[in-house]
Amino acid sequence: MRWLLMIGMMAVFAGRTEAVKPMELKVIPAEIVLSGQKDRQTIVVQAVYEGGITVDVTANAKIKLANNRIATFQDDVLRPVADGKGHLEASFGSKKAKASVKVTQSSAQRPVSFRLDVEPVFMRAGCNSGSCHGSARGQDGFHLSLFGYDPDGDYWRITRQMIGRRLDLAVPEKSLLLEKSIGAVNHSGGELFTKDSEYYETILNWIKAGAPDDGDDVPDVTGIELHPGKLVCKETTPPQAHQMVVMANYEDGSRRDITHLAVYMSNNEGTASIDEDGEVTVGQSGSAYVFARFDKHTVGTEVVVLPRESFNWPKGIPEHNYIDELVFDKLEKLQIVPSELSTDEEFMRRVYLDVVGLPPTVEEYEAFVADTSESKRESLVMKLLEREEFIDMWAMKWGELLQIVEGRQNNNSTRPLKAVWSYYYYVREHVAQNTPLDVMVRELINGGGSNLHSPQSNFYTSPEQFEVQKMAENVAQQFLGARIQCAQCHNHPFDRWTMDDYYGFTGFFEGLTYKKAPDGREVFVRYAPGKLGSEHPVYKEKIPVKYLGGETPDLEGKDPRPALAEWMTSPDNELFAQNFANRIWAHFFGRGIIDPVDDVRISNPPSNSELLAELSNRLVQYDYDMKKLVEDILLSRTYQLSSRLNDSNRNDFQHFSHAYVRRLLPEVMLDTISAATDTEATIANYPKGLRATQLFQGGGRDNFLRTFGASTRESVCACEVKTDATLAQALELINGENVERLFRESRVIYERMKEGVSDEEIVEELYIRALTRKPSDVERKKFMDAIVGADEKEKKQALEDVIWALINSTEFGYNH
Amino acid sequence: MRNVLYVVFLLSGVMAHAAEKITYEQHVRPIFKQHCLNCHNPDKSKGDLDLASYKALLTGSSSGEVVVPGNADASALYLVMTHAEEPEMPPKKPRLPEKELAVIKAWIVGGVIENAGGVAKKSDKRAVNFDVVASADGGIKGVPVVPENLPKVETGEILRPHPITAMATSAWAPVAAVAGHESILLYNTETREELGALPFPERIPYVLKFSRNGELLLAAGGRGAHSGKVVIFDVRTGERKAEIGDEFDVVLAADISADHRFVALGGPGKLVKIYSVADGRELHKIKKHTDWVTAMAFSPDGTMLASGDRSGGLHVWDPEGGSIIFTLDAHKQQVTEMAWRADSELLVSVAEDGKLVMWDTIEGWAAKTVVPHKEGKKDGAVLSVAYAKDGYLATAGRNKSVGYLTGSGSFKASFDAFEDLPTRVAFTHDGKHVLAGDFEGRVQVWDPKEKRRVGFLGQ
Repeated sequence: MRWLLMIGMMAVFAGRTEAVKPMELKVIPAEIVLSGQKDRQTIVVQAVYEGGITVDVTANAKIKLANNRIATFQDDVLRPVADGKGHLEASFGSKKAKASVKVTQSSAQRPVSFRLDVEPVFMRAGCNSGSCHGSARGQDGFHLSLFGYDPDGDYWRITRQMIGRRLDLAVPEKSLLLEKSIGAVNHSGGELFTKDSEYYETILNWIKAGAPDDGDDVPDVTGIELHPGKLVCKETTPPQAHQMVVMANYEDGSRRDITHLAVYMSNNEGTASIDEDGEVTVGQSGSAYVFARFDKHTVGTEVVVLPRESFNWPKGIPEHNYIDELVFDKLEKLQIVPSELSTDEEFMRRVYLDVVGLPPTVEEYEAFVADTSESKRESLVMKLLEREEFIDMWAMKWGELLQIVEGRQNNNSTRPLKAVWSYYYYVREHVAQNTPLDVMVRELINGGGSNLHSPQSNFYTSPEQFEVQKMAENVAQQFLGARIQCAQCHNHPFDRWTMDDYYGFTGFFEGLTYKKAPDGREVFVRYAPGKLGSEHPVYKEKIPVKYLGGETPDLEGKDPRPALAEWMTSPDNELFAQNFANRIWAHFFGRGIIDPVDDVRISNPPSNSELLAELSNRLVQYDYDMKKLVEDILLSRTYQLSSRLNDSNRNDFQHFSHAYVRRLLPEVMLDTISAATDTEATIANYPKGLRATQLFQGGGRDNFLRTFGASTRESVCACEVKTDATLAQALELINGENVERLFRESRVIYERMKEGVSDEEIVEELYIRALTRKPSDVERKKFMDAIVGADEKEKKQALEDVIWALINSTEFGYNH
Repeated sequence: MRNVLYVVFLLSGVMAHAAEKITYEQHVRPIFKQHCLNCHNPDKSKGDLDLASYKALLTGSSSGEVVVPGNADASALYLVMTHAEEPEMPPKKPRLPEKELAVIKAWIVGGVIENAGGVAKKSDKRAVNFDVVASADGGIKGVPVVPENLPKVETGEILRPHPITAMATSAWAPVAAVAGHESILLYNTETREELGALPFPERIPYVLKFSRNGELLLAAGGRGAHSGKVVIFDVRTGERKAEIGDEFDVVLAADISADHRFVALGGPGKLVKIYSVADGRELHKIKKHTDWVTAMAFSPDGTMLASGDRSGGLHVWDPEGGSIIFTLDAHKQQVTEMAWRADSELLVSVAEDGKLVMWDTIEGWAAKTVVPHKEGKKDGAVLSVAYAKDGYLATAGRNKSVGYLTGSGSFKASFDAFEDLPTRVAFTHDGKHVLAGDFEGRVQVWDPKEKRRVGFLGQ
């Protein structure tokens, strides 16, 4: 099959230039070690063409073994014959490449191991997936641990749970486990493999050997590798294919080809799909990641697919700073042309709504449009960053992240209203002082004392009943962007977090104690150092505390939080800076470089890792001064690109080649309506006169704000803020009670008419107020037609209809 | 009735000596106040249980009475406080100090006295006599049938013996039946020699039971996810007398009634099916178990059928009408085997949760619960149980030992010569020896009085 595709590939190349010659030829892997009679190695020969384009040429290359006594090569797999050394040579076109081959213990047959050989079959065949026997309750009476996180338990269930049922030790072929797998008897999961497959053979041989358990010397998998790394392919007909090779490294130093045992997936099937044998098939242009999973490890590699058409990066696109350099670099590789620069009006509306959460006033608008200086955008950015509303905006953002909200009654909450107040103003003050983020986080992690008088102690008080596990999960999600919840019950299926990581991390929070003061509302948060460490539910014993993805510090007898705070914010902990850089970025683009921002995992890679790395770097260099990073972002050309699309960036929604049209934040929506109508909104549970971004525990209880997706702060998840458009929102704007009242209370039109301002000028002002632009000729004409000739009362009605129509327009509800 | 008693307490109060009595007001309520009343008070009453007053306590919780006067081990209150049962109390916290638990126990054993003036209550449950040895024959006159001239059986080649999945002994003759590869092997338990084999091409026998009078042998099993049935053999001739049931998976539990009229079977299908032996007709198909039916036993007098499942569910049926008599709730995990005392008044069930429960089947309650196979701090699962004619019990546990217990459940001796699991136990007809089948496919013969292994069947 692969060589057929290859011919197609060749044809494509031949069609374009007469003789495209590879620049380089590679044999993957370059060092081959076969150890033991059953060992094997999948071989791929890759040609690299100009522009870094990678082509799998295994089927067309001439492959020969210099010493063919030691191994055989068939179906792209090398298998041992006799001990010795030699090398494998591949030639393609005029290029040659070599790989060293070493064969040892070629006559030794390693006994079949349950953990090394049998368990991987369950994962490969899907037996232990969440929808089958890996579900918490098992399937049809048979349970396997999800993705094999508990091999001891799996061994017990297969061999000892229902004695005699699953294995037939007397006549192994008659084992139910095998008869089910090949579909010889009823099996809800159907036939998973055939009787002549190596999976069948592996299990059969294990049962024949008496279904032995492994000794203590079975090495753990320390990591896996997916070769040959990044692929750069061209969109072709028929589609190009490329075989991957997966290697596992074990703690005893051994290395093994597990291409036939790994499980594969892609995060973008349209661009690059990967089949169960690890063969990537290229689709439409774009970028994708393909992943291989084995044991508890997942690794991914990028596949870039270039469009068919020849491409020239337009010369002379200005780069304002490092952000543009990195974004454009990526776009050039993907052959995507960025949109042009936004207009002043577009930029102005965007930056106002993003930075201060309000549209510009008419005066500010006029002044900016009239300004002819080169650096007027820069001056505007600097001015806005000093505005009070910028503080409100980020106090709100961190308030959502930190769940600053009152506890529900009757649930023993440690979060009375008074504590919420002190917590909010504490955080707001930090934003106002522009306290470095790491300093604030350290303070929070070390928080303690009275929830009323020592505000940072509220990092540990909770609107819900306090739970150690929830606390640890929240910290990981808030400050590292990692969701470790899965690992509470099983190793994370698509990430590196294991149960050991999870319970190693929860152990930091076991010692938190809460003492109620006589007042009833006041609670003292303390740490009891003796309680360090959590019990692991599988091992049934306490395990040492362990930094998430880090070391195991010795903190016995101490309050571990100062050490945790140090580790968390240290430059070695890359996730910390990355998390904040990404969250800040996401605010200004409507999506993170990793998105969602709090779902960082191997299988959800950044859309531009170089960019994210550099933003994180800068944040560290700036001593976590977030304002500086915001400034970089706002001044970049990338931020200032238009939302108008071109042919090449039409399908891009992750590489920032144009401004993404995004819904206004719920609070910004309400404040913008108020600003446009020059009114003050009434917000449930708050005094009049507050803007929606100033609410100390958020607007989650207000009808309007909730309809527009305001966070109820029920969890730390970034998803609490919803920005999807809904029917209820449309109705709210058309004739909702709140909006209706604002229209009624608005005196803008009345005043202007009294002042004797012309109708046309009033329409123009309404446009500026709502949309930060003047009406187009067509719009102007349409509205004027409705107004001209009307009496005073009808005219006022008509002008009110104008502002109503503008606020109900899509343009109003979105930042673009 | 209880109110009357209550009044009587109050009246007799004056005469009582307060000092030695453990009472609710003086001793028990203070403990509750410290640990329990936060949730179990008249306003909150979690689980509908209010411990703040004596009267409310006696009313019990949503799952019924929580104290059985005189019997702490049967009192839910005590069992949850000692974490012997779920929900463990106080929730997510360690047990109360032993001293305080001892007070609770003493109070229950002393008859749940209310206050200094109160008198001991008596349980309204009947007293179960664990010591009375039931008549050996259970009313059935047995015949010492021994197999004669069994035909030769050819089974295919095997790599090694299968773990012993089923084993049974005749109550009247020195005969044991043991599951083999697609066959049933018969042994003389005195000479320990093989008497012959019965073919079982259905595949794996999971159940073997001699009928009460020893004339018939029931074998049930089959091929996983494919087929299962019950086969009745004539013990003397080895002849197949009947084949009953046509399941789509193996039969995991089955029994034949003492009068040979009924056969009951169950398995992964979760149904209890009762058949007429005479014509193989299905009489009842009972849908009540929520998981695989894994254990089944007819009472010796034939009036009751007990069935247990993989989730710990246990029901007792009237085999004649197919209606339910009792639902017995104690096990949290798979009921692995059940056995009746010969007088049909006690049913013993063992389970993966480690419990051996003796059920009073006159009134339907757990008269006694013991954990015969401790594994460190854990309750080790029990895989098999058997009654001897003299009322003694044998058990096989996942802690790799076989236990020998008195009729009241006190542990007498353990037999630990197992490298892997013992899977099935049975007593020889005279009750002198315990047969223990194991994971390696051997049957060890053990003398529990002498505490020594006598030998192996067939070796």
